[in-house]
Amino acid sequence: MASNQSNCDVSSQQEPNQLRKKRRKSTQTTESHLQNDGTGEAKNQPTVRWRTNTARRIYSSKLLEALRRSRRTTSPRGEKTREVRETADRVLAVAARGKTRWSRAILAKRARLLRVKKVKKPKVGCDRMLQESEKRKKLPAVERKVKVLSRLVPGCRKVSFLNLLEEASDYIAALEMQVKVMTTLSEILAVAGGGAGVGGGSSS
Amino acid sequence: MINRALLPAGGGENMLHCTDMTVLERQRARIKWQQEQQQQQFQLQQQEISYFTELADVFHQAGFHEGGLSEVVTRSVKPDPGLVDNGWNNDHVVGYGVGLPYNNGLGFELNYGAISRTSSCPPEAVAAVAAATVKGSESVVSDKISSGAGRESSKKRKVDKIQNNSKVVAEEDTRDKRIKGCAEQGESKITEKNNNKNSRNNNTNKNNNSNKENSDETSKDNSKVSEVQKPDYIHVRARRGQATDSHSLAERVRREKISERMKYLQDLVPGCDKITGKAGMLDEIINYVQSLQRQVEFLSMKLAAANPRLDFNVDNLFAKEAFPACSINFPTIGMSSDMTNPAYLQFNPAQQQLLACCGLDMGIDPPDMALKRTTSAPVSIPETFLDSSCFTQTHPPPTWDADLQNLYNVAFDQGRQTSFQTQPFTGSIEASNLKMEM
Repeated sequence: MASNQSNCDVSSQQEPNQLRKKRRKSTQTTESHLQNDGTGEAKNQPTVRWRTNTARRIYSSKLLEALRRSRRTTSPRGEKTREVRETADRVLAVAARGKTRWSRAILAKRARLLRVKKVKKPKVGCDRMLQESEKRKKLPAVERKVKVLSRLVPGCRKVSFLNLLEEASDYIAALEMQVKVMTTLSEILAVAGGGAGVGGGSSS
Repeated sequence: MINRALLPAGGGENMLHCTDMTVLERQRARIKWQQEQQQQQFQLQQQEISYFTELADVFHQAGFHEGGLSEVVTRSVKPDPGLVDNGWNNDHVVGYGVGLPYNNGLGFELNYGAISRTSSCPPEAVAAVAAATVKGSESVVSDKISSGAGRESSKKRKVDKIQNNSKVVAEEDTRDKRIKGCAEQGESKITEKNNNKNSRNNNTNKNNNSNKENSDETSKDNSKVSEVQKPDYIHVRARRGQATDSHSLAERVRREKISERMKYLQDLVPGCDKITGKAGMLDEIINYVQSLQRQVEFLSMKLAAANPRLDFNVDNLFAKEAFPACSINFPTIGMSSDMTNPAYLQFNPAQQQLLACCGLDMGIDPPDMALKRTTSAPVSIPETFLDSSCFTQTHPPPTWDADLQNLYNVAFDQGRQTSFQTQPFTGSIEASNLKMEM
């Protein structure tokens, strides 16, 4: 891996610096505001955890490494997106340090995949559920939405409402950070590629 | 709850602290006598008896000040159960019912009168009655309280427990300090009893709460007991005019927690300021999570496309002029917040300029990913890039997120040249189409 990294472009190594510079301004205010909470839980709040500069830096560097590593192992033709997304989710889960349910679920999913192939059992249950829901009167609106939300947040299907809200807040904060990092990453990659391409084009 | 409830350390010692010295002297004498007995027999019951007699004397002779008790009552929640315990005991002395945990200070005032009445009885009889009734009632009460509080505790988070523990430790430490200031033996007596009660009513078999220990050690044991105790219970006071049922209290705690977390989510999810009610909030949350996940999907697609550049240094056909054009445009784009149509309109001139700049641009897509709409990708992508980077500097994150979200939705729309007339927020359909095309 070290050799691979050394072979990479210099521009890619400059990426974290550029990322840091861009992110500093936006995160300072949120951090200071949140840490003056005074509840004693300020450091545990999702926004504090996920909006710090360090968190972004850690995530971006880890993501870069993981992406480079995944590039090494040749990827299937049409499934690059999925692979990248799963890599990104996995790195996000790792960055969560296992304190949240959804992060553990994401990592467990991957571990399970590596060991055993997924069985297609849930589909049968889904069909039955659909039929039943048509016959039955609908659940109260709130409960339905709670179910939808629990399906959205990984690993939170059978979690109480209270914990689901907590997991959802942390998950949202993590997703926001993921989106920001990936945006800047892709932008930088494009810029870097563009700069290199133009430089190469002009020189030749 | 019992753990806290039976920390009479707070109540008894404070009361002693507030009393006259004459009372203390009398207590000391009595305590010495009792200590001798205890050292001989070492039984809990005797301690209880002595404790009650002291209390009875305290109430009766000291002319107990309401202020002292109310001051203790109004302090943090932890000592209250201690007082409650005294209250219970006093009640049992008189034969009253239990139900004090959630009463306010008024309840205690009633007890004073009750105790003063009974204190005229010979202390031993009173103590015997007290001892006999206390245990039965305490067990009953403990079951009742623990059932209610157990539910509360089960729903608690660790931080609360830690806070509770720390509070208890702090309280007990302060009490212990005062103990040392006062007649030490008397206080040590009571702390020992408190320790015994704690050990008895906890499920932790703390043999170090023996009566043999000195006051110094008992104070440490107090803190130890409180620290090592099972995760404890959040204390809730019934507000004025509200039900004092343990069920309803637990429900109220739960509801408050839910509302607190919903408020937090409201801050997190943009555009939820005006929405009240769980259903609407949940809708917004679900939409936001879905949009975030879609964005991640889109970005991963982009990254997958751009990834080869990491290693292979593929020539990028992006014209450099594209960026100045974008840079001119994005201030206008950046200023619009909560946009649907404004961004839409502003994107149009930007898009046209970019089209002019990079007409033949293949953009980021590597050769192996056939791109049908050549202009769509470069148009949408640089705008989102630069807008996002610009936004991180100019806008606070919540607005940025909203803008980014809007931008992405609009960008998806813009990507399809045939869809200029459609609404920006077509969401997943556009995104999936764009993905398929790319």
